[in-house]
Amino acid sequence: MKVSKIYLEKVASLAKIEIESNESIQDDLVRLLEHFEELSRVDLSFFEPMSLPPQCRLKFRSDEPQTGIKQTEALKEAPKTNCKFYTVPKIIG
Amino acid sequence: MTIKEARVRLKKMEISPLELVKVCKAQFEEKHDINAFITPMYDEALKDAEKLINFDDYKPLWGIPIAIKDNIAIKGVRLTCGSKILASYKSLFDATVIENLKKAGAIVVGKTNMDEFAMGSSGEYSAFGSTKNPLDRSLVPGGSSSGSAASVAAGMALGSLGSDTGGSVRQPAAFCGLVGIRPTYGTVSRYGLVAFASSVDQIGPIGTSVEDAALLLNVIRSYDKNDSTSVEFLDSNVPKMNEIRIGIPVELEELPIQNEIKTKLEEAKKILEQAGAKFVKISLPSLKYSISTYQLITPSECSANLARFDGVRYGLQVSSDNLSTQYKKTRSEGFGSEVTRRILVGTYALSEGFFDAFYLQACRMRAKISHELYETLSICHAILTPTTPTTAFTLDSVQDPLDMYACDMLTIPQGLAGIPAISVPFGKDTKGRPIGIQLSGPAFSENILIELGKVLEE
Repeated sequence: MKVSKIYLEKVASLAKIEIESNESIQDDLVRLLEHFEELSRVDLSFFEPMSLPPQCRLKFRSDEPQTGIKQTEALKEAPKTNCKFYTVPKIIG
Repeated sequence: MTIKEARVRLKKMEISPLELVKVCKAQFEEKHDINAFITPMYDEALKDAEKLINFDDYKPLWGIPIAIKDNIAIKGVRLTCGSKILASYKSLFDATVIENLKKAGAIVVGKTNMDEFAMGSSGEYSAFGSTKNPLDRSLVPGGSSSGSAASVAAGMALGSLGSDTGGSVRQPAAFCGLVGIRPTYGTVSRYGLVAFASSVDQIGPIGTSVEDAALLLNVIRSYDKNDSTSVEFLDSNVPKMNEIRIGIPVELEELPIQNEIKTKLEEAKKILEQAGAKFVKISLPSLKYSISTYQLITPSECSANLARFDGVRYGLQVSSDNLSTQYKKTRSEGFGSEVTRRILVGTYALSEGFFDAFYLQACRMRAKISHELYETLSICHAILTPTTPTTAFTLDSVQDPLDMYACDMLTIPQGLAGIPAISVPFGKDTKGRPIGIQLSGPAFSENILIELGKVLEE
């Protein structure tokens, strides 16, 4: 499977990272992905995909309100706020 | 000085916590060029040490200076993860492991340098500059817990915490002549550890002796309801040495391992045999796929975990009139090249049309590698291998990402399977570079690995 640089730019856009002018990273990515393709040549149909070690089973906590970080604290580290909310460039219109 | 020795001297009042911190601080000032810390905290540590007057036997780390990798949260202290994107971010809370250390009486002396977001195997991928190996400044200390290992090797702390995903505690421990432990997945809380690959990350201790590393592990390990993958540690009996069976994978013969390391592995085998252990030949045929499996799964997870760094709620922001452009400029400027590479590999592997062939296939291979390990460890108590294929290499000598990933070939499988492993220093090569020998075991077998590690250490 040939890795297309045009598709890599689309992937970069999904990841919200710029790579258009970075030939070196694009070349690295092509090489890495083509190397990792070795896995696709192995018959693994007998194995279910594993996402966590077997000793872990995700547990739910009881559906009860708990204390968390206060709004003022959470906003403390933000680059731009209006005291109550994070602010970002206009999205609509 | 080991933690054990320090405790004896503290109890006898031969030394005070204040003096101990001053000794560590003096080492930091003398060897500042190693660049082991991003945020040294010796001034705060001295104030904390002044308050400790009466030795408390119930606090196993009373007065002991400990260094912390800078992806572990301490309230009010910078939490940079070795990245420009978090260069001035301060944590709002303590990680559970930090709470455990504080309850045990430990004194934190600083946040250590690391490969950015725990992605690296040398200590050269930090936005705050490379860390150097204290044993030889021309060499890397290993990574990604580069500063955690370097600080202990240089005497700037008596122990440290790192995080281990593909070997990032064990490998730098091996390169710096120290002991490093990767715990059973789930037994050390990840609450407060900035996530790289959530299904593989584990915080682990680094110490100058097996006993020290075991003591640190005992302190930080706890069930935590704040970590949904947390499990209670199940203590197990340690069999007598003559009942212990250890395996060495036959596949090691095909791997490009430095000759002196192979020789040391043979010596380690003889020592364990003399102690009574029996050796069995084992095979892990899928070992050769570990790197590809790891380098598809962990970038996929990190592409999701690092999506939060968008410059809106914390960290670096590169402003723009357009939100999408702001995201791109912030992330492109904030992340280094290795992190960028891995996020893009992960995003590609998870994208429509490639998800099955890349990510899902890697998860199936993860199951196969793990199955082989579990099967093998049902007939032997431990697997013996070198920790790394080579000893510490020179700074700037490894440029190809694939060559860098190959450093982890012997430490990756344990993370994929969620099993514990210990790296113990075992001699040096002809250039004086430390060699690490690794023992891996089934889940919850840390006690057995620690006892075997002590045999090698002696």
